[in-house]
Amino acid sequence: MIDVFYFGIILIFLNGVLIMILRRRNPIYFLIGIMVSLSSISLLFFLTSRILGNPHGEIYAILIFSVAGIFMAFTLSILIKRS
Amino acid sequence: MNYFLLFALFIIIFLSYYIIFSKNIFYSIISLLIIVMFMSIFYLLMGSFFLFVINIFVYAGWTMALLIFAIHTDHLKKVKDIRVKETLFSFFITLFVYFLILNVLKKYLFPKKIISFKMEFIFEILLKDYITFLMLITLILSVGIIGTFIIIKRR
Repeated sequence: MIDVFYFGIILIFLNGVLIMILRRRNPIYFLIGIMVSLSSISLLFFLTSRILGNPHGEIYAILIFSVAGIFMAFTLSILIKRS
Repeated sequence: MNYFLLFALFIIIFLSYYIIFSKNIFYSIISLLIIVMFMSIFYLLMGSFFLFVINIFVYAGWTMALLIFAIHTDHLKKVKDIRVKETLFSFFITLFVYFLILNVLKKYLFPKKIISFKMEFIFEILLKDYITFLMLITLILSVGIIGTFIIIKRR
């Protein structure tokens, strides 16, 4: 059952990359793709930490959250400036 | 409980494919919001209420910011047959049902032998072992906030 979750989360990450590649003309879709891929990575870290009983994965999930917040703020400000 | 998480995973994968092939940006952003909320279910059911709340705050907040930016750049005016009021009404009803379901679901954890950590323990490790990473990210965060203000102000 756990393998299905791993496979599904990796599929979500690949979908995020596909959104970035296929809809690259629109910058909003680029941001959406980054958001989907980053959230799937943090979910993967969290799931692995809970299964293995290692708290370090959860810490990496928290760090990825903060990096995603910074990145989205900066990119959105650049987009607002260009529009 | 596993079947509910499988259902949530299926919904997330389906909606991520929907984002790729949809022509309407409004529905894409709403489906992104639903993806984020279904992902937060995973955090809640695996026993981390803190990450559940942080996920909702960060990603749902940024989704709303993206929606406002899409309205700001007039992407929505190109689409004629959009029903904003009906979509928002159905979305808020779905949100209400979602939180009702969550109140029931948070009693059942997945997997059954869950290894949960207290947040005090995690923050202790964060401050001991990952202090350089934490300082680096704090530095990047402050630079990002200042840079964002400068970029918007120059406009």
